[in-house]
Amino acid sequence: MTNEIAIHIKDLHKSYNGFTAVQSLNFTVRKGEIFSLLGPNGAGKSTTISMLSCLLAPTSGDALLLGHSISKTPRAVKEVIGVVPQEIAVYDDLSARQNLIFWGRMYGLKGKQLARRVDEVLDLVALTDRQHDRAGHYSGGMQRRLNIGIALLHEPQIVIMDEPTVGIDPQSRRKILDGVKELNARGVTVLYTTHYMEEAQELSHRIAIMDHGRIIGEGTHSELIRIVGGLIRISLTLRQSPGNLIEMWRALASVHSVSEENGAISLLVKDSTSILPVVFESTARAGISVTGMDVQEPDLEAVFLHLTGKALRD
Amino acid sequence: MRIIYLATKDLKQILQQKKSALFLLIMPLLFTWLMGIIFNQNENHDPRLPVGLVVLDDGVLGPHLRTLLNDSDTIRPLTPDQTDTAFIEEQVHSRLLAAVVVVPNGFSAMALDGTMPQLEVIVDRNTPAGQAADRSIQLASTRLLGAVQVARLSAAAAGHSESDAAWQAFVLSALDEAIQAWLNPRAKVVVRPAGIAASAPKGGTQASSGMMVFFATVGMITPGYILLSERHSRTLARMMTTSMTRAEVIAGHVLAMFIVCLVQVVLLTIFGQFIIGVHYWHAPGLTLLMASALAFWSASFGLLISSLARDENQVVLLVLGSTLVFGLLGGTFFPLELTNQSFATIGHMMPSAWAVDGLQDIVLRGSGLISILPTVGILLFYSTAACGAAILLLRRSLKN
Ligand SMILES: Nc1ncnc2c1ncn2[C@@H]1O[C@H](COP(=O)(O)OP(=O)(O)O)[C@@H](O)[C@H]1O
Ligand SMILES: [Mg+2]
Repeated sequence: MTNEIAIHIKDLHKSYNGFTAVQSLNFTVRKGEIFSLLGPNGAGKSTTISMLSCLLAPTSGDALLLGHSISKTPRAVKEVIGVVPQEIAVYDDLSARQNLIFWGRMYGLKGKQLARRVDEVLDLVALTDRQHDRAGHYSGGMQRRLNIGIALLHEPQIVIMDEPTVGIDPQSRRKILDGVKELNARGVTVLYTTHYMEEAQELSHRIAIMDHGRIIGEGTHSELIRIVGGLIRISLTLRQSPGNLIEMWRALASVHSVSEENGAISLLVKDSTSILPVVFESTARAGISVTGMDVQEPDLEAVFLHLTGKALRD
Repeated sequence: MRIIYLATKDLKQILQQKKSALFLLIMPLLFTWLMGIIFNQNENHDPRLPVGLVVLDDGVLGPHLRTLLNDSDTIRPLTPDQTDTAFIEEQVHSRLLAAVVVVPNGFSAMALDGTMPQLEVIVDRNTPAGQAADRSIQLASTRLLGAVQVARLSAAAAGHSESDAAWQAFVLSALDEAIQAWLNPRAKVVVRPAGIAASAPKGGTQASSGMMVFFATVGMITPGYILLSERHSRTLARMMTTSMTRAEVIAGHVLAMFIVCLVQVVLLTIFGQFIIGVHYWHAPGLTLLMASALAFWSASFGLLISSLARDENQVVLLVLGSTLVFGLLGGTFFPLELTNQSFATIGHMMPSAWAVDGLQDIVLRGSGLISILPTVGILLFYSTAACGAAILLLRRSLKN
């Protein structure tokens, strides 16, 4: 990694008829970095990606990718980036190989170079064995891998990936995450979006947490964890409705925050050993049974909870 | 170059669809054949208005009048079953006959003597058919009496007097000549108002050219699917993350549709030429020009439909719906020449009407490049309008 800047986002805004999807976005990604945008659905990640890929014009602000402005020189930007869209944008009725050859041509590759890159990419996304089968017959994971492979054909210096692991099995996800690391090891800068904190944590050199179109926290994993200080997260599942227990716990001095979503309760606390007996005693007294409990060291989930007062996952 | 790769990819996908063969070749061939049969059955039918001719005169002018009436494009003479006035009036009243002409007793003798006898015409002048029949009867009557005048004048010029024995023979032969002159004029002026043509295209030509134009747009169903699925799968948007420009992307898709239609039309003209006997290829350059104009119109139409439709069913509905409107109004099923003026005017607002006209101009009327160009121009105009509308609609999928 160097200190040279690969992506420089300057006060980017996007609104749709009065609804602001992205606002006051400012961050930089260094060359050779994996940078993740972590946020729940609707946070504005895809809108940001669309603007960076020059598919969507920003309402205001600009971004520079390797020095090329998305608003002034979009063609130069497109030359240096590879975009993996959130949707699986491949041709179902063509084979993986036909898809790669076609997209390679759209990226301007030809002849021997095209054939070499198609083989390399098939290898990288582990589809060599099934390269002649129709993409429509692939599993979700294979389609996702093809979707990624297409964006790598022209050996872009920056790869932008929008939730590339949504809805696939753990094995395929493993392959994809390893692939991203391998790509990065070859010097490619990666801008990665996800709503899975484990992915952001495992892959990224730096992470920006996004919610409601804004970045609410940014830094390395350990920098972000420091935001929550020594707070520990307790997750509880109750059989009955918690009623006024939540208000009661919130009032306790060593409890930092409490949130409830779909029956799952999260408490951020300074010291779990003193709080846990209180929690059990109060549930017992209210006649509520605890069906699940988990105590976690500080993680990004806790950071998100701390910053927004709600859980990252729904 | 990338435009060609894009078009090639589209063509591959279009050919992979089984429906393509159905819409592009099987249905048009079947329909051309069926329509050809329907039109050929009507071939023996005389479309002219029936006019009763009652000859109460035993002179020479009765047969001559029949000949002149029969020469008309509008009416055909026939002999009514009965000759009493009540029966004839009833036939006209109930519109079984457009009119009845009665040649009164002594008509020929009076005319040859130099007086101007009148034909009796029973007609309802309040109906368009009555008016048309009346005009044609008047024309025949004027020609007949004119021919008599000419015959009398030439007899006088030849020094015959009416009392001569030879006069009668001379006048009769001069009369024959004058009538023949009407039937085979040295120069013929044909005035053809819009929508009413002297000769409507015959069965094979109408079926072949009409169905060719009809199926040129029907054939856009599978190419329409392909572009629609590009919008839905977001591959169209993905294309815009490469350095392809919006114009290149649209040009690639239009090119594929253009090639599909051009190949279809060329195959159908070959079928028309060799199986039905329509002479498309007597002027290959012109036929190719018209085929290209038609293919460009179809491609633009296909682009518009696939940018409008929300799903595959809508592609089919929009293509078939608008093609039926173009087809029924625009003369792909029956010649606009057989329709009345206002129908023909409306029909010519349809691009299909111009495409059919262009093809038939080449095949039937031997038109040259100069007379084809306006038709080509009008098709280009429709194509450009459709493309423009499609590009506006596609901007959403092709943000740049
Ligand atoms: N074309 C659009 N018109 C109106 N609102 C939109 C449009 N696209 C996205 N949005 C809204 O913008 C917000 C951010 O969406 P998105 O960027 O897709 O979020 P994410 O990718 O983080 O899930 C959402 O509330 C979404 O409903
Ligand atoms: Mg998204």
